[in-house]
Amino acid sequence: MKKEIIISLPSKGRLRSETLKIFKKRKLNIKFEKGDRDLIGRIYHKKFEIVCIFQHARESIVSIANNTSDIAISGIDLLLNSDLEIQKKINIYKRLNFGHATLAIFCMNTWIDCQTMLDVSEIAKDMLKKNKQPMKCSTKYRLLVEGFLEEKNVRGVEVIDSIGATEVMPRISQSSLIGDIFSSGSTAAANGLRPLKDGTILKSSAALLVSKKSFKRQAVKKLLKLLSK
Amino acid sequence: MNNKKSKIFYSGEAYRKNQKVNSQVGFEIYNSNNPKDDFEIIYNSAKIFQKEIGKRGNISIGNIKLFESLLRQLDLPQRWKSRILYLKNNSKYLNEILNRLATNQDLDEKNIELDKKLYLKMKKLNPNNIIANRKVKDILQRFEQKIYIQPRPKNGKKTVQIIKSFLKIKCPIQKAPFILNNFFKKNKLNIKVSNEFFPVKKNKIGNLKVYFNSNELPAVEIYDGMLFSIKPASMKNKQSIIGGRFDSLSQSIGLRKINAVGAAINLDK
Repeated sequence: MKKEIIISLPSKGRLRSETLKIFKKRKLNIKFEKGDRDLIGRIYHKKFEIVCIFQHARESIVSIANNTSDIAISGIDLLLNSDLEIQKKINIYKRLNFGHATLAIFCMNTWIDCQTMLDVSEIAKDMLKKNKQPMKCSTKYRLLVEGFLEEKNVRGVEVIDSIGATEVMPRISQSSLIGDIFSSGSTAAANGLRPLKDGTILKSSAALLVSKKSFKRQAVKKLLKLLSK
Repeated sequence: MNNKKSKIFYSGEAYRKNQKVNSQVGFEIYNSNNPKDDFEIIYNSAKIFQKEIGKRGNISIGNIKLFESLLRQLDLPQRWKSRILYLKNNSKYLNEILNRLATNQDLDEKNIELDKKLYLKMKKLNPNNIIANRKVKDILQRFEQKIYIQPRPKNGKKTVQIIKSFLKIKCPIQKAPFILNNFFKKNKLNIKVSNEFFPVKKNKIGNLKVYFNSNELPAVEIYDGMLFSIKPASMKNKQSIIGGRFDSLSQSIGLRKINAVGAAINLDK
């Protein structure tokens, strides 16, 4: 049985800096053997043997699902957008008070006739009739967006995958809508987009996640308790 | 399929709202132009139910055409009538939409004023310009329709009250014409319900009680007329039989119109 606890942490951005604050506050000092750019660190603690792996927040989810790591700090949005098989293997231990963001459906400001998902439904039907093609919605969150469209009875919208800079898609008519995450909304506004009135899919934040398998270990439980204090 | 009335039976896989049903059995009558066929399907379903599922239960019969008639008579823009009808198979969302209609809470007056200003600017654009795959003229036309030509009614609250009260009507089937006609008269709606809406005339088939239920709206989209469900009296038993008319289904998949009525049992439950 392994003794060390492996924690997967966000490798960059605000998620990383806020995560490091949590560790610092609890006097869990991460030591990097190969300097600041090292993506693996160790915490020398009297009670725990901890290895920290710095990964993309999306990779962290996969990492605890396949038991490469025991604990992770990642976004709720990323967890809920992953395959059900992955979600089944992970528990949300605690929502953390940073990384707040909202996943929502946006349309162009100049679509002045479109305020709600009911409008999307009707416009999609009209576009299918006129263009002989379904309306397209670009997103990095396919599963969540598809589920939301189903819940709102929206038909005739094809969800297409986007890797990044999703906000530009409607401007270049590559898609008509986007499903994207925002915190202040300034990028969306700068690109002439507005969220739909009832288009909020999810209110997300960072969270302390744990593999269900690892949660059986007492040491993991104790460390989670310490991190969530 | 020719024009002759034909009866079919099937068993096998089916899909319900993207979920696979591994084992479903069903029986249907095609080229069915006689309301007596509705009775035949309900009667046989009742017999199967009592033999295979439970001795006691309730048959709930509704008709989507009655709901359509109600909406036609209400003071609502066509856009809203279509929306409500479109959402008939999603009761949770339908309720949310009705509440919005009653309260106007989803309308942001400030945004509408900004959009009106933007509308004036956009009128100067080339109408064939494309914005996110839509022509400017299509956007403007729909905006005019929504805001100026057919705006949301001011008495939405009353209209929603009528719809919600209608959806609460549930009574023994023999009383249904009387209760429904009274309801329409009370609400000053020009609708007269005749016997054609009620394929079963008695309040019982064997041990099964027969009700009219205006909220018997289709959980699956295929049904477009009479529809029914037979459920056990005991809540523990989840098995049920569901059926109804699907006269428009063949057209929706590109075939000629074939009137049909049928029922199915999901054996996975």
